Amino acid sequence: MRILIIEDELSLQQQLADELRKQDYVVDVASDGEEGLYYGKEYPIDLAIVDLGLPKIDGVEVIKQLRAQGLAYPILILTARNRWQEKVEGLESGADDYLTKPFHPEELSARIKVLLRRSVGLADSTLVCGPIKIDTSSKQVFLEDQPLTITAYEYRLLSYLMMHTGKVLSKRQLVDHIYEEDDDRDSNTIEVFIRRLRKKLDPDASLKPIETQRGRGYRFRIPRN
Amino acid sequence: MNSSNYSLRRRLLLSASLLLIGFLGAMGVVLHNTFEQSVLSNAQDALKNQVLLLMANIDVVDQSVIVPPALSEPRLSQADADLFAQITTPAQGLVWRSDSLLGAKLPQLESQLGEFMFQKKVNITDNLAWADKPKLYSMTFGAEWESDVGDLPITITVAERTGAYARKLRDYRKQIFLWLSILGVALLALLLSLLSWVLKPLSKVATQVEEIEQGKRRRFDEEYPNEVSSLTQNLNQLLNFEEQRINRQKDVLGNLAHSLKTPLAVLKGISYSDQNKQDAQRQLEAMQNIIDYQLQGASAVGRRRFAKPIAIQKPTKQIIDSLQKLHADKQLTVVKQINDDVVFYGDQGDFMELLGNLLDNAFKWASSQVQVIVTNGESISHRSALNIEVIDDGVGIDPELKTTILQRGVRLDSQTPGHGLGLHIAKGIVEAYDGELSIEDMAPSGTVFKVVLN
Repeated sequence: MRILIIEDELSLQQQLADELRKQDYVVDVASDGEEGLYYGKEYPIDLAIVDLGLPKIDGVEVIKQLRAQGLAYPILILTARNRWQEKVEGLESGADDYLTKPFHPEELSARIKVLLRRSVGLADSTLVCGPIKIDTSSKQVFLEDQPLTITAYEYRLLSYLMMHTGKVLSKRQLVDHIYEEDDDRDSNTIEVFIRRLRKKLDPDASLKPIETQRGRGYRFRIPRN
Repeated sequence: MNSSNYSLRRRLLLSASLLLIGFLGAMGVVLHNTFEQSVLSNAQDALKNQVLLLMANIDVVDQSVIVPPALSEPRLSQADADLFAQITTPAQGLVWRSDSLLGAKLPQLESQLGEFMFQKKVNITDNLAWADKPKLYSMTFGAEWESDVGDLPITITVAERTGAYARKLRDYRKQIFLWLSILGVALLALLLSLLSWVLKPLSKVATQVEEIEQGKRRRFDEEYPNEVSSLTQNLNQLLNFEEQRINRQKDVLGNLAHSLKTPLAVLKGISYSDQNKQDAQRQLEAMQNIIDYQLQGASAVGRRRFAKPIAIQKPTKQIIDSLQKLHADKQLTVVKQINDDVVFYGDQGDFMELLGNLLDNAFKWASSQVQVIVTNGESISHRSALNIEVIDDGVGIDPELKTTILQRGVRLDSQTPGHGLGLHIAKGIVEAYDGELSIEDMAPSGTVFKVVLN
């Protein structure tokens, strides 16, 4: 899951990014409205955290422009302005949630999880496709209710595939959603991760949860329960 | 129209009326006296002529006066006439009187020789025939008649009833009174219209003050006469200053609050050692509450003399939409009862802050439904009171929180912080408007928050 942080206060931006990376999100950061708008439009973002008082382009304007582009990913406003007039303005511009500074880091990550879940239409934090279950809050994977040992990259890949089950996802898309900008991005590693996931999820090759669509990408085959 | 304007008009009108009455009255008296003088001098002239005419008619023979029976003035011979004459001598007394006297005698003055003596308002006395005692003007003339046997002093008195003259005077008085009254009324009417023209700018000021009070207008017009415009311009400056002061205060406090919050957010994000964690979090929490409540609360505009009425339908809908987004998981039913014409005389930000906090609390606690009712109450000095009711069907408010919130004038800094901050902020705003906040339990469960803002 790829999260964009648009925040001009650098120490807070850094702190947020570190915290979210620790929670296994892919994080992009922008320090002003212009940069934020660029990332928001050009990158495959899954959720954006936007401060309202931004240099160059105001946060509300950034949100309006993102929505005007037809981008529907959840947006969370993170701001020091906590008068209702400002909350209303922010939410009316197209944001989905509003968190005022200062905030508990735990509260922020809880809100992010809820928003991401809601954006893919999940009622709670678990996502079940046949015998495979992931818990998006503890980031655990279960096969027939047995916990699997899984790496962070594998988890990111699997959860992304499962959240978009039935859809063909290109290697490029998958890379974008599991790697940071400056990571070593080699799309061949996707094949490696897919192979490993298949081995872990389907040791006797009977379930075949992940299909390879030649030249197009991969598809998670089992529908959500 | 306000009372000081009234009294100015009344004062001017009263003084002008008194002045007019005095002036026109004096004029009436002077005109009357002048006319009376001319009437009297006419009467005197007429009587003198009668005396001379009579003297031409008489003759003296042997110390006795002879008057011919047919006089050249016929009125003297008629009974019931208005002209009378008599002739006396010192030695013989009354020697002749006109027939018109019907045997009565005219009062007589001692007249010097060759001198006319005029007398007003004499009466015929001595006779029953003149019981009505007619008023007369009389003219007495003393003459000395030369004859062969020596000079004979005689006194001739002619009198005329005042009736004709008095009628003339009476008619004249009536005319004077009529015309002076017409003149007075016309002058007063002219003065009145002048007054309302002169005072028009003042009534305009009064109207505009009222409009400003009702929020229909922000400033006074520029077009006023010099004398008034110095006042209205000063008032405009005062209004500007007031508005700027409020905005500046709001900005300063708002900026202070904002600039403190980001560093506080950073501090909150730092991982503290287990030993310090609780202390640090507690202090940070306290700082946050102080910023939220004291700074944010202080930036509430509160009640103002000149507040524009704002329609509240739209901001209420905005708040409800926002809250439904923020509490999307709860799937609450919101029942909103607000007419389109409900207005609030105050600051829009304050209203949204108040309703936002009350509704946020309701959304937080409601199990299936939130109800909001806003109405205008009776109006007091141009502005109507605003009644807000926010009802949730939750488990009911914590009695301890209820007590703290309802205590008048209790500031949050003297309370345990962190609990029901939004409600405390709402209460702060209610107090800034001198309003009333009450909290009631709902049957079977839930809470009603009632606010009245005057």
